[in-house]
Amino acid sequence: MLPQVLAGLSILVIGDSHMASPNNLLNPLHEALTKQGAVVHSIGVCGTNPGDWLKPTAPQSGCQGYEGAERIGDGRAKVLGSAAQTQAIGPLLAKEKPDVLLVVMGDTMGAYDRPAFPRAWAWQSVSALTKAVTEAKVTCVWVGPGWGEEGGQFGKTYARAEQVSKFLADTVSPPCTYINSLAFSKPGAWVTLDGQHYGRSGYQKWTESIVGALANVEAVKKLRPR
Amino acid sequence: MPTLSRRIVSVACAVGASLPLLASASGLYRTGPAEDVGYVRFVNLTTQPVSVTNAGGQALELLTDKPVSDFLAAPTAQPIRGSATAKSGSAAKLDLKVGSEAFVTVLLRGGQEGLEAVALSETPQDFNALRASLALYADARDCKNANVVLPGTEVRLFTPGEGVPRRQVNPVSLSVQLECDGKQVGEATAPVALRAGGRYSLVVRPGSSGPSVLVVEDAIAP
Repeated sequence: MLPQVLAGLSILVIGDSHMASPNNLLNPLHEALTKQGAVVHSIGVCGTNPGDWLKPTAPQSGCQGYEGAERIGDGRAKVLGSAAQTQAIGPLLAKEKPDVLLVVMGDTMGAYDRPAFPRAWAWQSVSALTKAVTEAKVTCVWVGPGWGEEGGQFGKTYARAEQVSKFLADTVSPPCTYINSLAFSKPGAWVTLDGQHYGRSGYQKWTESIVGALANVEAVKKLRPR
Repeated sequence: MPTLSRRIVSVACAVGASLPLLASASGLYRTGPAEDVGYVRFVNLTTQPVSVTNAGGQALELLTDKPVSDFLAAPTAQPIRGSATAKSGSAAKLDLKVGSEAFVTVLLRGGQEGLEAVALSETPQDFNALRASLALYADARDCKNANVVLPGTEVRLFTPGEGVPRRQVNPVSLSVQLECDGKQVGEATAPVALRAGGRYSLVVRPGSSGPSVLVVEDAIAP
């Protein structure tokens, strides 16, 4: 049983398509954090990058039908549909003052269909969000993408997954603590629907790993619930 | 009947919400930038204001007290054309090809035949939130074999080589002394507190009493 590190903490979770549907990561993670005693607000918008959370941004057009989802506290998850958009992170953090900001992003930056990973473009997006996090002085934890499966529709490869993860490890910390999802499993171990998004079992395993890792983050352990 | 309709809609939504995410045959959405992009900025190394105008007539003013522009996102599919014009009327044509992920710095300097545009390009890979990144921009006519040393030492920050030299340093307070062809030139710069994750350019600018170094924190226009 995990120590009750997360009990009483308020956690704002923002993410990309992995969080944009209740039956992706959103429900399992939200419920697992809640079970640990945290008060959770989860928001996911499909096809968004870190920089898209500086101002309200709609999901990409290719996300039709899976645009976004939100879940607040003990309430049920709400599928946002055409109303889905990110919320500007500065005002959101100022309004909610969460103990922890948990970011689940990385796959949408992977440029899986391109021969080279666009580091400068990704840096601009990541640093825009981390700058806002620094200004808000909030404890931040960033969960990077998992391995997925090669040969899927997005063109994700294990080599690129490693590149993206290493890039995020180098660029989000500080101010965020980086959680390397690649350490949770072997390449291809979690079955996906499309090379990138997992099935129920994969999201459950990812949830368990994230919650375990989060409870071991030093910056989180030092927090006291308000 | 409104009540029955609402019930049917809410059941349909509940069923829809419980289905796993299904991808289309062509993939759901883009993972990466919509198009290849590079970045370009302009540095006014003259003693008068310079106006940079693109082919569409939009102008960017570079004043002598704020001589460095932000990096502007630039298309890579076609060249950027325009002109740079000093207050005196001297002008230079601009015809730049910006590569994907490249950062192009256009030095606008006075030459023998008036205003000149010298484009220096780099494709940095060293993005890191813990350290600061430094690059040295110099035209050899202003400072041959340019380098910088830590004041009072012979510790050279850059290794000579092709292209724009760049390196990571710890985010400390930094002062540098310009060196041209192995000889120290001018005064050391005032200390600058480098930021973790910050990216900086040391730009050599010509002057009537010799070249000097301008320390600039790089920024990309929002």
